[in-house]
Amino acid sequence: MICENCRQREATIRYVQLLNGAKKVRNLCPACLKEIDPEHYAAVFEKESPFANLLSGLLGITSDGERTQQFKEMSQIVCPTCGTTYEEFTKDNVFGCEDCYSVFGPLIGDKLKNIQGNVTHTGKHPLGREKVRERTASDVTGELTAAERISLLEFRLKEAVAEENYELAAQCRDEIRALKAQEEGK
Amino acid sequence: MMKWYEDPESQEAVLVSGRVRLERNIAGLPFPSRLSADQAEELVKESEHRLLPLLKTQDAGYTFSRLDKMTQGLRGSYREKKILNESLTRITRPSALIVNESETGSIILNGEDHFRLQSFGRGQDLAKIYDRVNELDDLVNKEYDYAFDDKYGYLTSFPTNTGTGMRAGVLLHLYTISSNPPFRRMVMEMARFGITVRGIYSEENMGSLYEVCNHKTLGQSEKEIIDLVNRVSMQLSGQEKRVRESILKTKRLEKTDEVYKSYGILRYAKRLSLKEAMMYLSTLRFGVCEGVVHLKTPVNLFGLMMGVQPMNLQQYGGDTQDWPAVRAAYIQARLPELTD
Repeated sequence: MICENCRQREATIRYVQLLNGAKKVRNLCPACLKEIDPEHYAAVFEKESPFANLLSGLLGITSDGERTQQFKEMSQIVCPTCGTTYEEFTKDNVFGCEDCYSVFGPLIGDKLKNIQGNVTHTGKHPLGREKVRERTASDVTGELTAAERISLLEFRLKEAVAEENYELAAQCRDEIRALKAQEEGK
Repeated sequence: MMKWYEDPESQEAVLVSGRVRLERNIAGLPFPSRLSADQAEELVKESEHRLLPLLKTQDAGYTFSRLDKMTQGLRGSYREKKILNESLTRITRPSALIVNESETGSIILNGEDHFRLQSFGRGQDLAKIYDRVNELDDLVNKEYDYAFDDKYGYLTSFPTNTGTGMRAGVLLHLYTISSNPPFRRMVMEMARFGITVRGIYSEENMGSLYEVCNHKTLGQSEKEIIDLVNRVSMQLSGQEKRVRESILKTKRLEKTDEVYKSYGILRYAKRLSLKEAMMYLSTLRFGVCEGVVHLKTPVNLFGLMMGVQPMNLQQYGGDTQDWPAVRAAYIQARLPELTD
């Protein structure tokens, strides 16, 4: 997936903002995250070595046992549905509800990769949630599907309108129409 | 009705048993750790009414019992049979166990996840065991919508279970190869392929019983996982059989002596510690499966190995002052004579 901000580099971070009950999800590359949110970037990425050490660094478990400011901030991340805090999650590694996956998922994405190896489900689907199509080569290489491209373009369209870049907005709109028509024709 | 592990027909030389378990949660409901006591109570009662009749149409032997109200003794017994795990034996929130008489199928309600579906059977039948648990899954899914995400798959309380929510394992009796040094190296190698191999009863790996199990649940399909576990089990089983064959060629008398001595002790001892019982039963199992010794009537020796575990033995009953004595009596009541 390509970074929504620079549209060049690989998006390896899912940046979720919870503000006044509204959830905003953006797929970014590390460089753009650094630009957009330098504080959190530093907190999460400018630490050495594996996630385990990262975690204790975040939790502020220093040699003199003092809790740091970062920990106070991180522990305030809360799942709005079930009330599980990040602190609680790191204690026993248990999610409280399905929404926890969206809330904490970006924070533990790397950890999941270490345990599980691959981060996308390729197995059975429940009743009523059948697979739209079979896994294709592009899923493996990580290229965008039509659906992903459409949502990316919709996001870009909104941004373009906000920036008053109506030319770009029109381009996005046309591309979206074309993709949707293609999908429906299938 | 016989439990599956009491059936002598199930006795294969190396592949002792297989199991597959699936973790599932209901959509739109907090996971068990976040349900209020009232919600949990309601969930347990409701699922009893909705699921038990459906299950009974498949197997009339299904029964329902409250897990949170179950005695520690019975919970321990289920743990020794691998139906419950360690944390489920300590559970206090409203939860339940639905299990059939032969213990081949079970559902745990509101344990670590809303539903834990399990099926057990013969080691060589892993694909069939998966089919059985898959049927259970479809049955429950007809009544309840599952929490599911296209990226993360079936959403579970523990992220280490997410995706397929599936753990598939085959239990192997690695009587000869487990004591060789290369075995440990091989076990570490397997971790790279997402397979764990570990002794099931204790750190000392009593009884030479090892379970081959998948480690990852996300990113592979259910079929891929079953194939992987099967392949590794077959590979280990093949190795074990080759070494057995070689040892019986070069040291047959030595091994025969060991087997007969083990039988003799099991037959006549008045007290047996768990460690002793497991050691001798393991050797006897080897002997019976390799044709070194012959029993008058067939018996499933793995069934005995489970039966002599502390909690299972308690269910059997007897003098509570002297469990080693109860153990010896338990074995003697079940050990057939030798043919001449």
